Amino acid sequence: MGGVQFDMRGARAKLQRIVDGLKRAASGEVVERAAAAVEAQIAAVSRDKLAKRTDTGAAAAATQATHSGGLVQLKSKGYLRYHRWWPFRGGKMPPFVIKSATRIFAVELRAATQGKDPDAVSIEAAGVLAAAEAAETKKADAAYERRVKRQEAQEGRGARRRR
Amino acid sequence: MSDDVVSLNLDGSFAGSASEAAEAGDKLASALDKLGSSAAKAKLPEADRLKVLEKGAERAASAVDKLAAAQKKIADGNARSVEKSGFVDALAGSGKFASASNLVGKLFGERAKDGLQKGAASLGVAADELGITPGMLASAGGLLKGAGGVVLSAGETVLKAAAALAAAGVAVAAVGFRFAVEKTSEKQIQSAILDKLGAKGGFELALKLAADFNLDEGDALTKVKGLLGAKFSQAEIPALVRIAVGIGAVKGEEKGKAFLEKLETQAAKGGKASEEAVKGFAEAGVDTEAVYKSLAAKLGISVDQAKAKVKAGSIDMKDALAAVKDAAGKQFGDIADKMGDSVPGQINKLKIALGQLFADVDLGPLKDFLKSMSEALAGPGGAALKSGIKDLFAAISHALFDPFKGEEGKKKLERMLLTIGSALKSTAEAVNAAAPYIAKGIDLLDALFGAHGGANEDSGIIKALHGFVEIMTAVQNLDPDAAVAGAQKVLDALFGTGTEQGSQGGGMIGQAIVDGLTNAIVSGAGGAIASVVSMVEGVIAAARGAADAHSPSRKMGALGADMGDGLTDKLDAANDNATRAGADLASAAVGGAAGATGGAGGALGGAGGGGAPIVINVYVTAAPGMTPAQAQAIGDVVSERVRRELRAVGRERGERAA
Repeated sequence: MGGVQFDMRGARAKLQRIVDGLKRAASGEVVERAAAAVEAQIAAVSRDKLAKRTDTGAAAAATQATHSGGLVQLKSKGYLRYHRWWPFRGGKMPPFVIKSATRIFAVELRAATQGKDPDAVSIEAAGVLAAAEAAETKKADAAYERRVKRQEAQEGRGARRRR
Repeated sequence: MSDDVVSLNLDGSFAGSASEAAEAGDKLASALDKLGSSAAKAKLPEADRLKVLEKGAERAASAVDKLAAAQKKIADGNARSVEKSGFVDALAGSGKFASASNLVGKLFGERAKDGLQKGAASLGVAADELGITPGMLASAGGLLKGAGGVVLSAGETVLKAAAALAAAGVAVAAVGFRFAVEKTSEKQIQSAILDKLGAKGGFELALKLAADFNLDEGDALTKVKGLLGAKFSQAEIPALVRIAVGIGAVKGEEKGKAFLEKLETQAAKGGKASEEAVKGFAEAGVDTEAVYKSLAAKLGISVDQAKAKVKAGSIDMKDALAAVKDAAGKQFGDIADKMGDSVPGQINKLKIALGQLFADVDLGPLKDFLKSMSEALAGPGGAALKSGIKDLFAAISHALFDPFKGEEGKKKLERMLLTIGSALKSTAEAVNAAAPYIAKGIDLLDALFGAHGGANEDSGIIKALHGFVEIMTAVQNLDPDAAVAGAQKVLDALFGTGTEQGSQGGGMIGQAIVDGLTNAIVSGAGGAIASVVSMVEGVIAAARGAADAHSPSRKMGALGADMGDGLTDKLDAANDNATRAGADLASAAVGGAAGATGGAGGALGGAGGGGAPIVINVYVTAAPGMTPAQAQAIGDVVSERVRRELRAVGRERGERAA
């Protein structure tokens, strides 16, 4: 008769931790916290740009970032959409804000599921992202070196043929 | 100009999805527990036996439930019970129960009779609940192999025995009765023993001493019996017990006991007292100087002379023991008096007195009954009962074990065990197969939420972040296909799943992550779990339901399109408009240019392929709301289109000329 040697206690405990974390996350506090952080970032970006690029302060006064639940909104003067320097031109959220929002959300979700302090998770995430970027750079450098070598080899072959 | 509103939605149905994922996780955890429990059973070497036991336990539980239901009805005092007394009549035979209960009534009074009738009627209710009828018992000929009559006859005897039990069940009366029986019996037995010792009234003396000196009745009896055995008179005993109790209180129970033992030993020995005998009492805590002093006073000599006489062996033991009694009495006697006068002592006295109220009841009828019962059991009734029980057990044994008798029975048993074993083996194999997949799935989940997200390039979280970087790049380049590929990479890295690709649908960041998580719960455990009978089928169904039967990659894949409220749509539309406008212009321009070149063809041809360059100026007027840069872009597009058309015309002309 078959015996079972596999010990699932560790896996069971991990699963329980994740489930507990998801329950906490489902309560809405993760979304709320992430939205508040994203709102603060959007407000900071818009404030910075408007201070540098406008004189009267009218646009800055009319610009307002808000959030309700998970919906973050930025209200601004319509004419700003035609300025190349305005990050939210065309009525669009810029990719760097989306990227940052993704990261903020991920940090908050991870903090909730781990029961950790978001600041600690943020530091951890920064380390992870830095490692990812380093890996990406390494990969790009290697690709560049391969391309250069291939080019040099082709040039060598051409020169020999010409001779 | 109106205001602009830019939106970013982090929520979507995140909370709902997280709840569903948590629910799916809960179900998986529950399934894991069942799996673990099943695995634990499968591990046991004699699991087949356990299985059998388990079934037995289930049946027992079911029987207990039925009994509990019956008891409940009994407790409720259901009026039906009265009607059911017919059951007992049918079992014991018409009129026999009535005569049995009348006998009980005579022996123990009307309350006992009522108790018996209620108990018997309740038995009928219980039998009813269990589906047993008098008819079933009477006609159980096949199963009981003709023992029906014997059982019925035995039933009558059992009922008579039950009468005594029913009487004991009549709460207060029964307790009082039992107490009275005990007390009276005890008194009769102890009195008989003491009479034998030639001490009539010794039992009463022991009880008096127990009451006076706060002693246990049994302890007092032992002391009295010991002293009577050593030939002390009933008149001397109270003083000696008084001293022993005092020594016991001051020096400890053992010293008090030792004092009486030495006294009994020396008294039994008789003759002359020795110095050792006197010193022996010192071991029990008695002051020997006081003993010599008392002896000297009694003999009218000095203490030294008394000591010398004892040493010389010229003092009677009787006189020496009297001196010991006198000295020890002065030393410890008053302590025993105080103990008897204490509150616990008074309570003890009351308890003894109350007990004696029940010590003289008439046990004659009970004795007669017990005697009759013994005789009945020894006679034909008992033989019938014995035979009935024997036949009943034999019948039950045959019914239960005959199917497994002989070679055929052995084969049946083997087939049964093989089936059970095979089922357990399959379960064990399925559990073995499923467990690592489940654990792997959970490990992968942990890669997202757990502590494994370190700076290891090969870790899931790093690969996932690579995927995120690709998604972001794709969003910047407005390349939905690349975004989908990035999302796929993220999912694969996090969950190790081969989820399908797609670019439809729309989801939010959190929802997409949670959908991926739910999917991982399903696919990480899926295939293998499905084989674990139906144990975790519910989990899979629930988790699939939670996943909404869509690949999360669709939702993640649409990240670029959705985040930023449809990042590409309007911008693309704007570009499309501009391109269309440019194309229209270009088309018009090219048409004009083609006409011009066609018209000039002969001349050009005549020129042998040479000729002056053609200059075409393209002017684009910016429409309201269009920036100079956009107008410039349109101009560029048109110019390029014109150039391309002219080159085509040139090529065509060259080919024609060739």
